[in-house]
Amino acid sequence: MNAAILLGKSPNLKPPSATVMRLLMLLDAPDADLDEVIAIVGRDAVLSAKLLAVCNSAGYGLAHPVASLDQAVLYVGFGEMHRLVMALSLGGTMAGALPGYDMVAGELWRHSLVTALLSPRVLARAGLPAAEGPIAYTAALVHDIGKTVIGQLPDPEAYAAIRRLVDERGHSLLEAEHAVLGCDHAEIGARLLQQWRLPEIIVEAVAAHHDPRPETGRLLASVVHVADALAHQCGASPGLDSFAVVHHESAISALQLTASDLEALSLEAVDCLEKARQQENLNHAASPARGSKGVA
Amino acid sequence: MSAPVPAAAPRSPWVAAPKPKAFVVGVGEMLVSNDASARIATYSLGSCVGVTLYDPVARVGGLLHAMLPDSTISAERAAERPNMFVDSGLPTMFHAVYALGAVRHRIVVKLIGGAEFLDEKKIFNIGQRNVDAVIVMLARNGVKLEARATGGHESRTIHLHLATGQVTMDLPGRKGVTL
Repeated sequence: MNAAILLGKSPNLKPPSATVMRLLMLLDAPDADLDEVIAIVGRDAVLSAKLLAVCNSAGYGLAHPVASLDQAVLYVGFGEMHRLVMALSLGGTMAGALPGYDMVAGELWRHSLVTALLSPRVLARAGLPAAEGPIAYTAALVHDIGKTVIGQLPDPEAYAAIRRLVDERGHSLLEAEHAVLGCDHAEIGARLLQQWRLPEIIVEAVAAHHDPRPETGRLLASVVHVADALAHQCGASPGLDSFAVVHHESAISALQLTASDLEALSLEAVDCLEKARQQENLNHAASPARGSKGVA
Repeated sequence: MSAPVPAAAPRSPWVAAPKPKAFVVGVGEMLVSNDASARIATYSLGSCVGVTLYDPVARVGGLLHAMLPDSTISAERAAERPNMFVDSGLPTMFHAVYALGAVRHRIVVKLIGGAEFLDEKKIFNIGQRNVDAVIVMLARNGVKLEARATGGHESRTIHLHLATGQVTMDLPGRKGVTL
């Protein structure tokens, strides 16, 4: 079976709306037009409400509540807007339970969010330009989106077979998926994002997040690879065989990270986990499908 | 001798029994308690380690969820959150259970977590280093490790039941495994 066939079996995966894509493009542009951003946000009631909620949350500590959209956009800034829009448009798709990976509702989303929050920090430690932050954030946020396809297949035997290969033969999760399904979650995710017309650089990074090959000169996959490992380590990764993953030294050396950089980053991972939990609380009202299990 | 452990009351409209309490310990946190009706839990230990202490006579227990072996990498963090690190969190927990009446030679110690990735070069070998840090520290202080469930490539959720000292683990696909 190949990725296209598997994707065809998941009809409920909806791409982000045209509004969202337009907004993301605008927010990424260096000379984004503030008025246009405000106009687009204003047409989306949920996004407007969320933005005001974030602005008025304790984290911003404003003396007077912000009530107007243009003020809100200015306060949170485009970077935070980008995160908010991504979270709103993908949170629904990635928040469900994934029986195939033994993940309850909300767990994949939490892992994705922690990896996304960590990526710009990995980028910074590696001394790469901070301007790449939003791209790294987005790539990290969607790196496991292929798991939403595999994890919802109505095929318990395939899961059992994947699990046996990992437990008894020492395969990595990726190898086992490939052996049983003919493709893996990285490949399916990349194909899905390609169908959704996300930028090629993100599609590439998602495809390569378990095999980053930094020698190609593209370091985004390496950044996601390292952030993913750090998120797993701090426990933002329940689910089947979440440690049955090969980690590549080449990614770390290409990013010129030392052992103490990695330890410092794993402390930052805890901060990211806490931040992700706060965002979950903020999102609670908008997405009813939440897991009851907390990660600590 | 200690009082007998109350049996779990069957819940029905005719029985008024307190709901069992559950305390949750986050990453880099520690909690001790002498409330025999409670359970202390920590969720998804990845490469982090969970250490449980239990004195069956005083019925005092504790749980530490440490993330890194050695606090010297960040003095600032260690001062702010000593339980983030094995070397500062473990002594803190021992002192906390002593303060509640636990006696050192009766304390039962269990160690859980320290999952590892598959890479052969062990670049991300924090799991093993965490486990080693606990074992070395216990050995240096002459404390016996009663049981452990470490390494592997799964994250583990653990519960310490303070009535009995029993430690149970929830693993992907398997819930309530007794250690």
